Amino acid sequence: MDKLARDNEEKLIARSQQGDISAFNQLVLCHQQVVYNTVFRILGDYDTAADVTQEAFISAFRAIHTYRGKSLFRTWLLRISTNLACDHWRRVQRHPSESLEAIADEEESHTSPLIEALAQTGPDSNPEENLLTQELQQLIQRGLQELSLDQRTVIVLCDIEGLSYEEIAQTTQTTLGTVRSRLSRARARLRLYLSQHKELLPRPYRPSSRTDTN
Amino acid sequence: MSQYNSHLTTEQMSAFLDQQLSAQEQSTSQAHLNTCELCQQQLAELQQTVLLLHALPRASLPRSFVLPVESMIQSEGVAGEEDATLKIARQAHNRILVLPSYVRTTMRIASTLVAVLGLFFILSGLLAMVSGTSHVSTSLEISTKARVANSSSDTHQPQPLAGAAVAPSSNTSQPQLFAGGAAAPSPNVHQSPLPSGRAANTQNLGLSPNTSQLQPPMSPITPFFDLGTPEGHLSIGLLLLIAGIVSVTLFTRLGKQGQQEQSQ
Repeated sequence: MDKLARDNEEKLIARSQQGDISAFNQLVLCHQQVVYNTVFRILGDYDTAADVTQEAFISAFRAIHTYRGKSLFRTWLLRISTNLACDHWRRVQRHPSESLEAIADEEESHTSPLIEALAQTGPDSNPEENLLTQELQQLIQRGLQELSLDQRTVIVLCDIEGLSYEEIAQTTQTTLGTVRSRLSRARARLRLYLSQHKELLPRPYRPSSRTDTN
Repeated sequence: MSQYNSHLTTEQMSAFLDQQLSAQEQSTSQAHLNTCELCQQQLAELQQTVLLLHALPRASLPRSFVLPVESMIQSEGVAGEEDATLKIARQAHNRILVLPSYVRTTMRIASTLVAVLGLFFILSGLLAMVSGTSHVSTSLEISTKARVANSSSDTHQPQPLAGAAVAPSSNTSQPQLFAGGAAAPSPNVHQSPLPSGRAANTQNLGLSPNTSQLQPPMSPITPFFDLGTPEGHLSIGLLLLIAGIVSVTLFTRLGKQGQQEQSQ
């Protein structure tokens, strides 16, 4: 984010802290994509992700007077939203009926969200993204959901959202060392998970392709 | 040297990918990787996993997450001046059309009034059609007498019969009554709007053409918006009634939508 944008953001934050909801809504427009995507990758369900994202922005507006500018606003927002997403995940885990519903929902909308996601990847997006088949995307998402919440949050923030270790440490309120170790374990577990389903991976991504040729 | 020969740990490998190792660690790891094929392979696999995550498409937004202002007012109970700011913000920012409740109420009341006005017009039109028969005919007779006197001074070449002369003159007397005498008092005009069959009909009816002349035989567009005729009343009334009912339902529905959004 360049200086101008950051100055502008600071002004919007100051106005939001005085209760100016239109200023806050501009911040929402700036950050909703990253928040929604993060929450979706943690939870794996589009509808739930939308609900949690909305909840996160409402919570953020209520708590904006507590934002002191020590971290980036995005970091602060992501802290709120990842916490809410993790809370939601734990709540669903504790109540099997809810989780059954969630699974049923997931089964119902098994293909359509991914088809939508593929269809809605615009022409300006990276064409490489389109190389990932639906099955592969689902596989990666299931692999993510196999991880613990801590690991999942870190790997989503780092490898999907592209945050730095420092920013992730601030978001998760941990140390750099914790981020490093959680990330490495998350990547290792995901690598293992994907290697168990390597028949679905496109050839350049197949982990053991080198040994095959040897 | 022992460091140089030992395989990279999972954490080292992951941090190596992100260049998050210290400069020294980074270089020893690189040195080891240059010689160890197993670690090279593991690193490549790890890199592929990371690349896959990078390649995941962004989930497209299902909607905008801009805050619904009304619910914020309710849930927070913010102060009055904030309230005003929020209302302005809502007007400026709400992507979905939600009219303020007072506008909706006013529009609903206005639409109801329009519908009632329409009903009034319809009723008055009906009343005029039912009970106004005798009244209209008498007024017609009066004017007809005047017209007969008038037209008798003019030339009535096309109708030599006295009875036939009454019929066309009564025709113009109607537009004269309601359209404020827009038609010129020339007997020649009487003939043009009348179909010939109708002229023959009035001739057959003889001296009592007034009852059959109640419905104006003028062009159908004129009485449609003519407030003077009962038909005009009816059609304007119908128009107003339909417009009123449509807008009442429209604004009621908008109001319901607004309430649903608030409750969400």
